[in-house]
Amino acid sequence: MTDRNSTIETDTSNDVPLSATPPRVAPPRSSSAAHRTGGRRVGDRISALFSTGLTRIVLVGLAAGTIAPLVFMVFKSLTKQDGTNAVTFDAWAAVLNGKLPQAGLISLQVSVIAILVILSIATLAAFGFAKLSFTGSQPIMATIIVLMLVPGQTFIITEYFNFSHLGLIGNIPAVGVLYGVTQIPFATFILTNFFRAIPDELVEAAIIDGASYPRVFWSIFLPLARPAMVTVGVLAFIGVWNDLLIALLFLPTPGSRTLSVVMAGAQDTRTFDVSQVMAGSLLSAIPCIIVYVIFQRQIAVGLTAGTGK
Amino acid sequence: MTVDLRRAPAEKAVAWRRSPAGPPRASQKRQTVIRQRQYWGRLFVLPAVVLVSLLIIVPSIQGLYYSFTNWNGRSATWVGLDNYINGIFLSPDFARIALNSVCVVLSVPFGVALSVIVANLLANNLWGRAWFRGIYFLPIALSWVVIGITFAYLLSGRGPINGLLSSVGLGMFSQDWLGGETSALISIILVFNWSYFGINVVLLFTGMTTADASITEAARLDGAHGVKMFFNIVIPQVRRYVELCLILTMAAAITSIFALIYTMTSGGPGVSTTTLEYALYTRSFSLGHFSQGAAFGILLFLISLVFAVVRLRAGVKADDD
Repeated sequence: MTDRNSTIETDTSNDVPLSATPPRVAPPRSSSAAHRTGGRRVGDRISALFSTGLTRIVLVGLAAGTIAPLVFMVFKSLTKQDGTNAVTFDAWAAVLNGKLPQAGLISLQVSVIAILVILSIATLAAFGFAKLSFTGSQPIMATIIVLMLVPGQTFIITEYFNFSHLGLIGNIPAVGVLYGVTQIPFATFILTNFFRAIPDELVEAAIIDGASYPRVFWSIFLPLARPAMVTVGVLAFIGVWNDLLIALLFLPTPGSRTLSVVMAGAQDTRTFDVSQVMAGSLLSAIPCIIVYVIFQRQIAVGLTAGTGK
Repeated sequence: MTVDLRRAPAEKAVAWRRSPAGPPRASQKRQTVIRQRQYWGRLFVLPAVVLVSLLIIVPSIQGLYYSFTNWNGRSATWVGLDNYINGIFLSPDFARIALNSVCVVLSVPFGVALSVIVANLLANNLWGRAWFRGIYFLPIALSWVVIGITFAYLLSGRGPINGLLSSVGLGMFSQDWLGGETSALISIILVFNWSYFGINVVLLFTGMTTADASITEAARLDGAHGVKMFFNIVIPQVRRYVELCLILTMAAAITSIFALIYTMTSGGPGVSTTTLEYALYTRSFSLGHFSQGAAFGILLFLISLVFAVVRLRAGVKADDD
């Protein structure tokens, strides 16, 4: 934090002598005083009003552009496609009576298993790395974190054949575990950083008082880690729920297809019914949208985890 | 494993015993504590190490090995660099595939630049802020499948975008956007950047609002405003966030837009929207050239590595000055 501030200060001080404005140490000028008291000239006020208006128009326009496809989906899913645009729930009824609810259940199973794997395995590992350092713990942690760089594509083909040899293609729990493990490096990274910020004295005091390490983990650190676990869990849910590649390859059998796989396949079929496809897309997006509405802040925190120190 | 486990505390214990300051009873207690901690540390980390080794490290090494072989899923014969040279770099469609990937990646800085500008507008605007934030960030909850299906329909020959064009008198531009080689690639690039635009706006906005407000205020009192304020004060303050957005979005462009391409164009027409990532899928699972797919996987890893090194360098540089 401090180096960033100093960077900015040197940047501005380099810049000021080049420009025509008075030096930084100048006493408060009348114009800036006028700004604060609101005694601006008419021209200033008009240009301020203009820029505020322009800002708002741009922001509204972009918001409309962002949300337009979603609004369009809602509209298409609720109207007749015969040119009358009459409101109808036929598409939703057809989708809810089709194979999507079953696929949704599979998506849910896979996501829940993945989240359980991530949270249990990564919190344990993070506690070990952050508070119970042992000979060789640093290189092992570095290796796990470096695995964040390995894209899934690097191992997906061989993984596919390994699963295939073990007869695990189409096996929902096994694929849930696979999803979970692919996110363990990221989760361990976040949770280790989180645990490191908690003072070591908390562990030592509890141990001196006679608690065991598992007890310290379970009763002290796990409750403290809840915010970080929520962030990791939410990101994992969105990632797994929305993934296509692994589901497409590892869950290809009719009884094990996830929502993404069914939706991606629905588009290919000759009986392309716009209303139904839009209703299905919305249905598959609704759980994530709900999670998003509740946990918006945690998602942003998780994505910016790499920036802070 | 067990030998290793006991050695370090034993050495420490000897050191304790020799030192005149530490009473023997305390040192013994301390030794037990250290041994306990090491033991539990290993045990806590073990499940992660086992799972990650089995499901990430081993298959990655297998992938590296098979990329040097001719492999049909059962038997493999060593062919050296053949998959890389003849399978990837000299294959007739590689130039186009690489170009597609490069185009998507190079579009990212433009998208992020737009995001920085809009984030700055948002940070200077209190009116409806939470609403804008909520709406801009929403695409993060939408899957590529949903986005791809929707835009494939919007951009189709009889889709609403062509309808919109004809209704404003630009009917001569209407076309099957995903049917032409160039227009399909441009469509993918635009949809990709559309999806990341709002996410980047919100991340940058977070950076701008958590930055030290006193610096901005001081600059304002010194007469900085408008464009000058933006480049000299705002950008340096959120530099880390800009880097983060660039890296996140570029990494996504390289390794995670498979589903978008799959649902919008299936890589076509021809290979005009096939990226390196998508080629890995078609080579392996459409054409059955699994070892070429494995080679593409290694190539993608090397690209990710280059990105990481660039990011690390940038971070070190930022810390230095």
